Amino acid sequence: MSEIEKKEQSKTEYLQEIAKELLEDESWDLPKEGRFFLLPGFEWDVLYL
Amino acid sequence: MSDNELLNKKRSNLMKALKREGADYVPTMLASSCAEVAWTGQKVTDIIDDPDKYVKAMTDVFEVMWADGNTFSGTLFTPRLEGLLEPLQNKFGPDGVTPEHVQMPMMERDEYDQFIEDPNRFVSEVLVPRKYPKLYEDREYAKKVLKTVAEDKFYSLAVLMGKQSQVLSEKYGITDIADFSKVFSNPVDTLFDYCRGFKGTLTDLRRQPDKVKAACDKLWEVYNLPRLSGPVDEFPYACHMTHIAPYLSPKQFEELYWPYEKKWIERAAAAGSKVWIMLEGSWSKVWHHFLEVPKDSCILHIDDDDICQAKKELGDHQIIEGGLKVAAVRTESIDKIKDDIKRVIDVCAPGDGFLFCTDKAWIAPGDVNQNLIDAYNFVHEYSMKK
Repeated sequence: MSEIEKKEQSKTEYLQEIAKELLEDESWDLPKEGRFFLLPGFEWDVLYL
Repeated sequence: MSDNELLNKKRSNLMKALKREGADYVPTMLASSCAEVAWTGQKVTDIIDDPDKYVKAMTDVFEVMWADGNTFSGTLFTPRLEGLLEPLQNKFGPDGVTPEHVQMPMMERDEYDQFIEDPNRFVSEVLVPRKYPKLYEDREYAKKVLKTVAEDKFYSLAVLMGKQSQVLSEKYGITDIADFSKVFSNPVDTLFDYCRGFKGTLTDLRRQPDKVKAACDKLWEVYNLPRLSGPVDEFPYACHMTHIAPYLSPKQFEELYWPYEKKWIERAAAAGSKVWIMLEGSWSKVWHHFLEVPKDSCILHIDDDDICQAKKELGDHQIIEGGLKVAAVRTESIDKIKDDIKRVIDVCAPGDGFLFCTDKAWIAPGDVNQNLIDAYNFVHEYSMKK
């Protein structure tokens, strides 16, 4: 991804991209069915931590 | 009696009370965060990383205390986020037991138009970055935070609560009646809890009520309603910890809060289920609305209101829960507590549809004490004889 494209990424896309990476992370020992916090809408729960 | 026989006996009686089929005695209910741990002389923060030790501490009191059902008990978080992410609204207090919640409203009063346009995007583009700017400055840090939160939620909600639920049912015959994965949020509470806070929401309701209504309607459409899209389970029941309702005027409640609440209750009733609702604070000026929804579609947990008045006004139509003030457990003699329990049982038990519980959850050291144990055991013995 170029620097220009990175700058155009919204904050929403940025955090959701990280969440997606984690949801698909095969090396993470947390079971995939246990990653429910990262499902769509997780930003609301981040706001309430 | 084997463990399963105990569970079957208690659950059968609990369901008789809920279905008004002539319960043998009044079921007693848990409502707690982690005060049971303090009863064992330990701190939650010292043992929470050891699931076996934590669950044993959360359940040991039921060796000496009769209880039939669990509305809610446990914690939604552990201390592992502390030091990694600031500010945090939810922490354990200095005693290592009491959960503390501090509101940190991030939305300003002049941002309603932006919010109404797209609440989900406003949260992810404006409010979360405003609260946690560091997440957007350091990608590795953001990844570590999300990873830690995900692990913490899995540990708290799945590992600890799952193990506790298993021990409560298998060892002590205690049945979960509320499913906190099916928790409901009224959009007015969503605005209150997540965005504008106590002062902001109440001020907005006076100064810009149309904006509040529009924000809630939009929240219902894009946040609250989509979270109800799954099937309705018959048991355990969906639940709602209400927040702002007792601070609304009856008119505000009727026009703004009740329509969403009613839709949620009717949805559960149509599926043959019930909902469990914590009527936090005082609801007596508005609780007649629960007569509008199907009979026995609600279990209404009574907090600051008079349980006998609730029985009189609502008890033939909805199931009510309550009967013992936590404050009384801490300050009054057991003789006085027993006298009060007799009066509550005499008034509320006839006709079934009554569950005995404390008004407030057991959250702090001292909430679970000898008076509470004696009170719960007395409810079981006294109501059995009736």
